[in-house]
Amino acid sequence: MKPTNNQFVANRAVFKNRFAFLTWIVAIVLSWFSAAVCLRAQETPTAAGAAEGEKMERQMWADFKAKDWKAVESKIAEGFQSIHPDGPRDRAGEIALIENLKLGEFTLSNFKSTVNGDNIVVTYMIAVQETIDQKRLPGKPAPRLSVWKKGTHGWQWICHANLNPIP
Amino acid sequence: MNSTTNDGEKMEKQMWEDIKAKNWKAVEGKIAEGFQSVHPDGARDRAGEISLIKNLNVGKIALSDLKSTTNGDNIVVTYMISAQETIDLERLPTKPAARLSVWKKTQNNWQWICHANLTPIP
Repeated sequence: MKPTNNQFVANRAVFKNRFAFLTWIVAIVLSWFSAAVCLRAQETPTAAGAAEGEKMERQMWADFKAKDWKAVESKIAEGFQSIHPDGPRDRAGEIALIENLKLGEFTLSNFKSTVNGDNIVVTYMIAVQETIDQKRLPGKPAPRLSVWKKGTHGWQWICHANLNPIP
Repeated sequence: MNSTTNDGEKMEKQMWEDIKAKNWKAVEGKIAEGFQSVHPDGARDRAGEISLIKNLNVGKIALSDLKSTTNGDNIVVTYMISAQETIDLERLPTKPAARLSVWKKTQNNWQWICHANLTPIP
C-alpha cells in the first residue's frame, strides 16, 4: 500500500518532532556533562591539595623516624616558625629539636586539610612515643597543625604547632 | 623571599582588639574560608572557631615576644599571650602560653588562615 500524501506529511512531522526532541535531550545531557566537568575542575585543586597535605605530613613523620635529615631540612622553609608548649622556635631551633627526637611508634589520625591559594593547612591528632633530652613525652593523642606552601622548589613547611606537653 | 615584618604583629593585635570589642563583623570578615585552628581540645574549622570566639569574654591581655616571618604572601606570627579569658563562665589559665597564626594576603585584604592556641581549656 502506498502512503498517501497526508501520511507522508504526517510522518515527516513526526520525524521532525522526534529530531527536535532528540536534539533537545542531547543538549540537556551535554549541558549536564559540561556543568559536571566545570564543577570537577573547581573541586580538583582542593581535593588534590587536601590529599597532598596528609601525604606530605605523613612523609615528614616518616623522614623524622628514618632520621633522614637531608630530606627534613630541605622541606623546612626559611622563615619557618613553630610553637610547642615551651614556646616558639625558628627554623634552626626546630631542626635541633627534631634531630634530638627519639621517635617510637606513632599513630596519626583525624586528618583535615584545607587549601588557601598556594597553602595547605593540615590538622590532625598524633599519639606518639617521643623522647626529648631523655624525657619521655606523654603518648596521649594531641593535636597538631602544619601549613605547607607551594613554592618554586616544591612544597615547603612554613609553620607547625605541637600541642603535646613537654614535661 | 623571607623577612621579618611588623604587619603580622599589627594584624594579630588588631584581631585581639576586635575580639575584645566583640566586633564580630570585623572578626568574621578576616577569617578565611578553609580556616583551621587547633586548641588543646582538638581542631576547629571556621564555623567552630567563630563560635568559640563569640563565647569568649576577654579581659586584660598582654602579648609578648611577637615574631613575624614572611613566606611569599603569608605572614607567620608567633607570640606569647597572657589573657584573662572566660568561656562559659570558666576562667582560663592566665599563665603565658604560645600562639601561632598565619595571615595570607589576598587581592583585597589579609585573611587569617589558621591559628594554634596552646592555652589549656579546662
